[in-house]
Amino acid sequence: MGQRIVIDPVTRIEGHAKITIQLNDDHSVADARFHVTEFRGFERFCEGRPFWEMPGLTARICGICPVSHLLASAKAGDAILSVRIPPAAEKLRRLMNLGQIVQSHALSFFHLSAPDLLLGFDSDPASRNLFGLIRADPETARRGIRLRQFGQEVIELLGGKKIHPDWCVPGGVRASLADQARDRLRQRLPEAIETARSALDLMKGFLDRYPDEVSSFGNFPTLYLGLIGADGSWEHTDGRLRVIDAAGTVLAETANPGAYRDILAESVQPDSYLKSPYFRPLGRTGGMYRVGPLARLNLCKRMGTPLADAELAEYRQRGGRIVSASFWYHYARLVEILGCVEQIDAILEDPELGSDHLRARADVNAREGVGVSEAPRGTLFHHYTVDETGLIRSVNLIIATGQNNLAMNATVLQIARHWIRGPHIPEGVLNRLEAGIRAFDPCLSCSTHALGHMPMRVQLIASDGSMLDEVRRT
Amino acid sequence: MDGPSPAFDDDRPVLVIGFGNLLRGDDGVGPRVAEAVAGWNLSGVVALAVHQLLPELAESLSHARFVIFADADVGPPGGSVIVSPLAPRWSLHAIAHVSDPPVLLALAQALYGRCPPAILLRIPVRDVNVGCSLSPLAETGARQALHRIALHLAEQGVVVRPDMLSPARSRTGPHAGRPPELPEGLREQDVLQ
Repeated sequence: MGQRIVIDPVTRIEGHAKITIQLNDDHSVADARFHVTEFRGFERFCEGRPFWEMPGLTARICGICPVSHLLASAKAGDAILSVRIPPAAEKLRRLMNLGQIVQSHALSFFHLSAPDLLLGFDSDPASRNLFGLIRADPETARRGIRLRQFGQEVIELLGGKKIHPDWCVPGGVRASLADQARDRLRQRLPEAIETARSALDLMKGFLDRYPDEVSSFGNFPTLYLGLIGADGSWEHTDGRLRVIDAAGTVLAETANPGAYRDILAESVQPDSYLKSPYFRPLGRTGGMYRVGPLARLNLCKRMGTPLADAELAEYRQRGGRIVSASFWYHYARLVEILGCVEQIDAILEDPELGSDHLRARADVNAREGVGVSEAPRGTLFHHYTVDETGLIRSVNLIIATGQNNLAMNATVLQIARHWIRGPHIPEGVLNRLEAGIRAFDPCLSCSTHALGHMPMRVQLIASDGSMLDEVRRT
Repeated sequence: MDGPSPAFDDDRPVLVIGFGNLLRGDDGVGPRVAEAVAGWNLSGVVALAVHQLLPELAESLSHARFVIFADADVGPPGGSVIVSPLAPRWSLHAIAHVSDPPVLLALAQALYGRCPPAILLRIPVRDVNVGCSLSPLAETGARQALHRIALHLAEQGVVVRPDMLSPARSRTGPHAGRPPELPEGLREQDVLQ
C-alpha cells in the first residue's frame, strides 16, 4: 500500500510551503511535490492604482527584496512613459540593485544555509541554526552579518531606509548619493571583499565535504534564463533576455522585455499558489528552466570584474562551463557577492554619480510597460497595462521563485529518491529535503505572496488516507 | 548627589529602539516613539526607528550601556504601557529578517560578548490594519511610553528636560488625540510619486 509523507511547512526559507512525498508499497519514492500554501494577491489589488504608485506598492511585496520590485516596477513605468532615464539615475539604480543582491545573498548563505553547511546536515537540529553557527565559527557569523549590513547600508544611503525605500520612480530616481555616504561605503569595501573571499574558500571545502548532496540536490539538466550584458557579461539591471539549454546553446534571446510572452508560459497546479512558468517553445515537459545565481553564471561569459572573474574561472574548472547541480547555487551566490562588491566599488568612483539630472519627466505615452531586472533569486518581470490616465488595468508579476518552481519540485523528488529508505524519515534526511529547496533561496513572500517563518510538519500517510506517522518542528 | 553614580560612569550610549510597521496603523507606534526620542537630541542617547529587528542591530546593542525597546502590543490588559525587563533568550531557529528583543540580546552576547541590560515597553494598541494613523489608544500609549522612556533615561544619568519627566497628558486634556512629542512628518502617508 502506498504512503504519503508531508513536510509542512518547510523551514528557513522566506514564506510558507510544504513538501509531500508519495511512497510506493515497497517504500520507494513514487513522487514528490513542493507546495506553496499561502496567497496574497498583489496583482489583483493593484488594479485601479496610478502606475506612479506601483514601485512603492509592489516593494511592499517583500521585506527581503523590496529593491527588486522597486526596480522592475520603475522600469515598467519607464516603458509607460516611453523615456530613457538619465545616465546618473541608471547608475544609481544599478548601485542599489547591487547592494540588494549582496544583502540578500549574505542572508541566504550566512544565516539560512551556513548552519547546514558548517555544522552538517545530520547535526543536532537544536543547534543547527545561527546560534549554533556562532558557537562553531563566530568569526564567520560576525562577518556574514556585517556583509549583509553593508548591502543594507547601500540601500539605506541611497533610498533613505533599508526596507521599502520609495526612491526608485518611473523615469529615474529621487535623489543622488551624498559624498559623505559615498565615502562611507568606500571604507567598507575592503572588508566586504575579504568576507566574500573567505566565504568562497569555505564553500569550496563544502563541495568536497558533501559529494552526495552535491550530486542529489537538484542535479539535472534544465534550461537557464536570465539577463545578459551586450558583451556577454554578467548583468543584473538591463541587457538582453537569454535562454540557453543544458549544453549552453542559446535557444532564445531578445532585447525587448515585452517579448517575454513569446518565451514564457505559466501553468498552475491545484495544490500550490506558486505558478510554474516554463519555456513556451518546448512546452511544460521540456521547458523547465532555472533562474538566479546558478543560471546567471551559466549564461554569462564573464563577471566583468577581476576578482569575480578569477573566481568564475575556478568555479568552471570545478563544475564545468554549464553547472547543473543546484547545490552550486550557494557557490554561485558567493561569486556574485564578490562581483557585486567590485561593481559597487567601480560605480562609487564614477563622477557621473554626482549629477543632479536624475529623472526624465513625461506623461503616459504607452498603455503597456514591462520591466525586467535580476532579483537576487532570479529574473523578475513586472508587466502593467494602464488606461489613458495611467491607472493600472492589469498587472502580471513573474517572480524568480515561481520560475524555479518546476526545478524545485524535481529537486525534492531527486532528494527523496536518493535519500529515503523505508517508511520513516530520519531527521537528517528531512533536513536535506528542506536544504534542497533552500539552495534555490526561495522567497515565497514574493512569489505567492506570503510572509513569515516556516516551522515544519511531516506526515506519513497511507494511500487510503490514514496517517501513519507525524513529526512536528516548530 | 555629588557627581554621577559609578553605575553611570559610562560613555556608551543608551539605545532606544522602536520597531514596527508604519503602514500598519498602530503597529507603527514603536518607531514613532523612537523618532520622538531622537528629536529630543539628548546627549548619550541613540534612538533608532526600525521596521524590523535585524541581526545587524546586535552590534549596536553590544555597544550600548542600556537598551529600551518600544513595541506595539495588541494584548496588554488595562490599556497602559507595560515595562518588562528583558533577558537574552536563544532561539532554536536561525534569524533571518525578523527577530524579537530577547533573541537580539542573545545574539549580541553570542557575537560580541556583551549584552546590556534592557527593558521592553509594550504599548497598548488596537488597530494594526493597513493605515498610517494611530488610534487614540495608541496615541495615549505613545505619550505614556515617552514619559517612561524619559524616566529611564534619567535613571541612566541622561540629562533630560524637566517637562519630559512630568506624567503623560490625559487624552481629555488640551492636547487630546495628539501626542505632542510625536513628529508630525511621520504621520503623513509615504509619498509614492
